[in-house]
Amino acid sequence: MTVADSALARSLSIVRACGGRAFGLELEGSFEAPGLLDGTVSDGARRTTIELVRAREIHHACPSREALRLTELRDADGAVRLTIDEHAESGYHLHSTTFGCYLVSRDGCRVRCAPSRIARWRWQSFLVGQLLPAAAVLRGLEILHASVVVIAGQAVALVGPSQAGKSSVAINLVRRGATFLTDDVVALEPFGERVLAHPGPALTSVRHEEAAAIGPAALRRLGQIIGRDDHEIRLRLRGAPAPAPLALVYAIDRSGSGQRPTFAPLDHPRVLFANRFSSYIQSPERLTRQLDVYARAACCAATFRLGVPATGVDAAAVAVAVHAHALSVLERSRDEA
Amino acid sequence: MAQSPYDHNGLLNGRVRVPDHVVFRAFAAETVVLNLQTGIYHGVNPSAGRMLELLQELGSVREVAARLAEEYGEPHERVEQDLCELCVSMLDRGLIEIDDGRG
Repeated sequence: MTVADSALARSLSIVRACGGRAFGLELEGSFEAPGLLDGTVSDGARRTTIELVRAREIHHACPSREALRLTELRDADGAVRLTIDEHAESGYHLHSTTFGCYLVSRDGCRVRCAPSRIARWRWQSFLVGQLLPAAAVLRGLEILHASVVVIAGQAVALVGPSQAGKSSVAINLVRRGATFLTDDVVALEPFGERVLAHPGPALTSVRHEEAAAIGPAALRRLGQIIGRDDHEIRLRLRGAPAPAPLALVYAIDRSGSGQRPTFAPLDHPRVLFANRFSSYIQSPERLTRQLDVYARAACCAATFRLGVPATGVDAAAVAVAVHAHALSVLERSRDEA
Repeated sequence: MAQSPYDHNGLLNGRVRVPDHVVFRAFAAETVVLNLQTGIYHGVNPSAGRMLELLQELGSVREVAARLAEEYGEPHERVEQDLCELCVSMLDRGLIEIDDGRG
């Protein structure tokens, strides 16, 4: 091994190959990733490898002059924050000024990561939140912007815009006995007449205000803190071991004026389409599959508008109401079946 | 408002087809129509969704109108009017095409 190789090995903290499952994918990587790569590598139909590489390898594989710019997100001051480029052969190149440089192969089988010099948990939150969902789509699954828990063996999804409270309500449902399935993104797969919701990594972010409301003892019972910054705590939980059939979707609407959560049936497919994810992947196959999966989900999952107050939301109280409502709906469905 | 180039009489006596790049699925409250070439989704009410299904199946606008009149128990003239208006709207959006028999 040369001096350069050993320096690279030290800088990338290479460890033995580890495996994990998330978003319907069998994952393999050779770096520490708490909550993501915690087990042994297994043979699975949808295997995706995650590699740590140098940024120049990604730039070499995806030269900008040969790529099509799909997305460019800017900060309020106009500075570019994130770009997503598509390269005909290499795949999708995501470049974040905060998190670093990443490349998902066209078939979703390989994710190359050249993270910025930031804490491990932070760049891995980008890996989990953006790259792996894209890989799942490219491997034939469909995804939805949702936090999901399992109640009475059924997947219950919470959808809504950013800061609506999906993660907070989900974590409080877990405190009430629900099983954590995924935070922020769920991978869906048709299975017979139903749609299965696949577990994501057993990781979630909890804002400091929510963590304070939960309390340190209860937080420790929920899981292990693996990182923190000025805004949030990164928590590693016990997650659902297997997919669960999607049975309920709650669309959080924070325009309510009352004090208590309200529930109203929703038949509109726009609830699902408004929560699409990785929309920059627009192949005809993907778009058709998305339509099929969403149509199936709309048939097999009851959807409700969950009205909560615009301000001063007590996520724990909302979770109490959601838990009771979900149990009532699921019991009624069982009786009618 | 600009006049559509399509006349109802011509439509009624003609055939249309749903091109391969247009897919649609029925949901409870509406049918979602997706143009794969543009990536744009369109929502139509369940009645219009049924019209689209029959247009894809039968092609002949007059036959579709007759079938719908029977299904909904509505007067033929009214159904023909509604169907032609839907066809014009869908033609303008590239969701259906006039089938001139050339493939």
